[in-house]
Amino acid sequence: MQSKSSRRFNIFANAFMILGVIFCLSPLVLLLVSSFTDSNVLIRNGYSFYPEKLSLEAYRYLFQSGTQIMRAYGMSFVVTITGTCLSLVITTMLGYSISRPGLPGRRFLTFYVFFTMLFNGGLVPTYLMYTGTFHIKNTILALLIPNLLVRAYYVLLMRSFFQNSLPEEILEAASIDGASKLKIFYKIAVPMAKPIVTTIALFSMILYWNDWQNGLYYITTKTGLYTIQNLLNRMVQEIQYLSSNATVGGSIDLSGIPSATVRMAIAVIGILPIAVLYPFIQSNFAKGITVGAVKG
Amino acid sequence: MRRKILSVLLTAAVLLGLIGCGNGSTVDTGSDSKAESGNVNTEADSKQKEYAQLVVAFRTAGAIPTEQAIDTIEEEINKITRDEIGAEVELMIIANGSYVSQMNLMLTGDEQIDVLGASRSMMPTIYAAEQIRPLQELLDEYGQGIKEVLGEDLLSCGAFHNELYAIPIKCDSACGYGTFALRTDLCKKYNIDAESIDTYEELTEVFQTIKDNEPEMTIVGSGSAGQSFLQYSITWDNLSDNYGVLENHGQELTVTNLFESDGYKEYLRVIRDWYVRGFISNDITSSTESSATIMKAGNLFAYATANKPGIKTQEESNTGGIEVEICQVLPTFTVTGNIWQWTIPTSSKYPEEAMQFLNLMYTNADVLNLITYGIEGQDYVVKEDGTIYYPDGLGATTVPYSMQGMNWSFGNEFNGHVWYGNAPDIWEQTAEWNKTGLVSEAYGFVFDSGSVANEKAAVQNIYDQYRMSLECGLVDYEEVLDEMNEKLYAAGLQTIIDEKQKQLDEWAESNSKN
Amino acid sequence: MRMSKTKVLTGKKKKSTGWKSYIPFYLMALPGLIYFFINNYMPMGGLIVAFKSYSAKKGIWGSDWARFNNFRYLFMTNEAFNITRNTLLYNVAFIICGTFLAVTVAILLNEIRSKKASRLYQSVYLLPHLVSWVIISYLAYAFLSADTGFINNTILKLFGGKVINWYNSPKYWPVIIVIVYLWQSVGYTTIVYFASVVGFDRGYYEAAELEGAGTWKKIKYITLPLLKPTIITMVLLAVGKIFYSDFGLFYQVPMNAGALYPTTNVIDTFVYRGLMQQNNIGMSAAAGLYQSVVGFIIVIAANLLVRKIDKDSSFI
Repeated sequence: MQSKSSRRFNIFANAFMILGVIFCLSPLVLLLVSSFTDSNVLIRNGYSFYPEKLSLEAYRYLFQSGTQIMRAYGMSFVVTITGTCLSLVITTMLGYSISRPGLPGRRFLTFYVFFTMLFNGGLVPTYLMYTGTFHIKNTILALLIPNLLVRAYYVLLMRSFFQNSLPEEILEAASIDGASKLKIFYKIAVPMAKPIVTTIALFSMILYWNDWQNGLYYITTKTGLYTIQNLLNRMVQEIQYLSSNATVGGSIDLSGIPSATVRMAIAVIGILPIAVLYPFIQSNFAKGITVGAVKG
Repeated sequence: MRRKILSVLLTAAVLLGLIGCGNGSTVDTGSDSKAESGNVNTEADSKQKEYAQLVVAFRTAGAIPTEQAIDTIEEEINKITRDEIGAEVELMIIANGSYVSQMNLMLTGDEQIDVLGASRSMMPTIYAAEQIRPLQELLDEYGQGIKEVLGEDLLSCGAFHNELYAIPIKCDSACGYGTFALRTDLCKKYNIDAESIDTYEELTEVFQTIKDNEPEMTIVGSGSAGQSFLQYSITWDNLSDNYGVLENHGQELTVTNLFESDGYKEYLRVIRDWYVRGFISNDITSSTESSATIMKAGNLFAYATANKPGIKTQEESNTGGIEVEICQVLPTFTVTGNIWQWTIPTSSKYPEEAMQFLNLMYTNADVLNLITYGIEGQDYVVKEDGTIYYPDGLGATTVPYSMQGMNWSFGNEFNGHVWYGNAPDIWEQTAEWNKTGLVSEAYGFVFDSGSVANEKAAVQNIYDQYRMSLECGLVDYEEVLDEMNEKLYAAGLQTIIDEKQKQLDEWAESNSKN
Repeated sequence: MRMSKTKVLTGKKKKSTGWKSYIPFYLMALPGLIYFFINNYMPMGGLIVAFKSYSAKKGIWGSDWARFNNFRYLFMTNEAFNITRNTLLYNVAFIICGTFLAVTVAILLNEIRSKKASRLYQSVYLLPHLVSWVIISYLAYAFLSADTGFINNTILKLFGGKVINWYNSPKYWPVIIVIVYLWQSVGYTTIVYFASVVGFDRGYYEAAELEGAGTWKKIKYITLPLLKPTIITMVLLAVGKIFYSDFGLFYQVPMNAGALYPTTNVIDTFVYRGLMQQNNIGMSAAAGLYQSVVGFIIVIAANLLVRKIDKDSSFI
């Protein structure tokens, strides 16, 4: 009897999920197909799942500047991995410590973190500070630090998790056994928090990977520091600018760029690594340690 | 846990390594150490003398050259500037799409920029924020060449409240409005003589002919994505933005509301008629492609552009080779265009040398050609008829350095090479062309919108709401126009008009316009 | 020793002996706190430029006072009401629909028996979030284009309905925007809820099964209540941003079409459009300050409300 209801439920759940897949995937399939479409056909007939004519011209155009793209990919990887690791360590430590019940000043510290989500000095003061006071312009630090390294949102999520989903009894048991607070943190709390840590790691990775703004504002002379999103975003902006200012006094050879399809190809290249890597990261969402032992 | 320690150590190692690389050439943009990064060893002797390090900032259309390519060009330019003005240059080339925002950041941060290319939209802000210097004295002392090249009339276009703050560029200033590029093959097929089209009525008939015979084709498109046909259908002096204009080609110095004028209504009538007849695509308000690109894709007969010598060549390169005929239905007209000018920021460390460099760029053909086209042989070759083009096998995106698309922006394009496809005497033609057509009485007047910034922001939002659907004929203007005007006035349009009139009167008086 | 530790763990504050033992926690918190000071608190002083008439020569601190002049453009027109209304309504819709959908998907993902399938679904749902708004706007255009769009071409063929010029008809866009928002964000938001659900003690479920509870009952009486703190946290975090909008969604996706302003213009796009030609940092700072102050008031109110329900979930 039980298995019947849960089987029915399973079928229903799967059906719903598959609908979701169609909903999510169809525009993306369109994206992929468009990137392989002939540019003139795309403009004439619009976007279609069955284009009249396929072509590799968009990718050929992009890989003309092949070394630049490779280098930008490399840069993105370095920045993403470095940034995510650093971010995880700092965020987890902060989230954990302000989740500890009884910590003096806990409310104040939580509010201190939360307040940063409400008020923001804005781009200009932040920029002035990082370039004028800290001189990180045109260095890799500019890609790692501003606005990305520690996010209040993630800290608060962590705090919430540590506060609500971590059984205090185990921590208490460990401390009674003589473990130091630091040891309790990294030997017990963090492993039990694998789901949330993985979540924040994933968010952080996406954040770093997708960021193009830091590169835009802080990297002006050292073009070798461009990340892939930064590079691609510049290309898209250029094409958009040229399309909107077609005859600004000079002869700009826009015709050489398969503009419509290049934008699609750019998007595909930007998504690819994360889309490919994500399934591998997913294994970390495995359920946490069963806490049944303590209950008994 | 071990994994965590490992990852932290790994991170630290990677980080240190990269900081090491980064620090080796950490640069505050504008600091002096950058200029000769690639060529330090060979410059040992010239380093002994102290040269002013000028930072020259401008924007580019298209690919940004690599650091090495820029260094090479800088070195070539420096060979000249060291002798002539005792300075070396560092070129700061920023992409078009982000130029304004990046420049604003740098100027706010007081970073050293000695020579700044400014677009029209930037001027009121940087002027109001006192980020640029007054130039009259510097010009008098070091800018004789500029004075000669530009002449007094053109030079007066750089004055804000009668003080010189910007050096205008000499380019094609007369604008051939109401120009359309028509597909040659279809013109031939239906016996259309583009040259003989002189009025909107004749043009409408031509469009109708095409529409009758090619029902699937979009007949006419605007010039650029996101712009309506108004861009090239101007019969008024718009005084730098469309809020308060001088009607009738600026023959009188009275500022009125464009959106209530007869000229505007006439324009709307024509375009609405075109839309109703099916000449205009429903997607025009949301398209992201320029009309030339759409024509290249095959489904467009004509689009709007502005006439000038060499326009046919230019458009044919934009359409990827599809031949076009040019026809013009409105008078040629000259206003204070000011799409681009050269300024010297407050943050400049060497204002005297900066002006000297500008003078050099305006008068010295070698410097101009270097900064515009690059190095002969490497970035371009000279053909038999004297025009230049990319070397064999290279194109706009693969050549090491080329600012060809911006050749008009470096002050005095007349002094430089002629690009392939244009007649070798294109500059003479342009000079002649500039003398044709009507000239606005307000030529030389520049509006400083700083004091009405709030009104402009509010008015802009309202205008943008109606602009595309109104000016591309998608709605019946008789219903909508009054509504729009009401909202515009509520947002402060009259304040802007009054301010313009006030500044215009002041300018007219001090320039004794009689 | 042990006594004081237990007392501490039950949440009572203990003064002197408790203080020193917390030092490891303070040390752990330090790097993050320092970062926030540098990255967020130090530049906050720059907000003062909202009240000044900025001049580069005088710098931010030396510039003249402009009092509330920089704020005028935000309130001058009737637009002020529209953009505020749009911002708020959309965010409320997003919070409600987004949370509902994300929680549903997270729970379902957890209940699905095949773990492989579950992982596959999750990966697919995340993909839309990785696409930039510019590209999403092109994809939307593929569906909504008047002449060549998928919808117009299929509606015509299947139902013989009239062609709609989507980018010229503001009334459909509230629905369109919400759909696009959900497409882009649900996969991402689901992850947090999924991570929570996955961490719930299996013991509860086993006990319930022994008593004969079916899947629906398990969800209703175990999963949902356990999820409550997470949901509250996420909603509170979202409420803090209620006066902000995702710029890409409201500017790019409607293709910046003027006709759509009445239903798609929000505070952020209004500011951008007004200042795009001008780059006036005083005025843009004024807008940011306005959004922050109002958001702040609303969030404090929401937090106070939440404190009454569940003290630990609020942020104050």
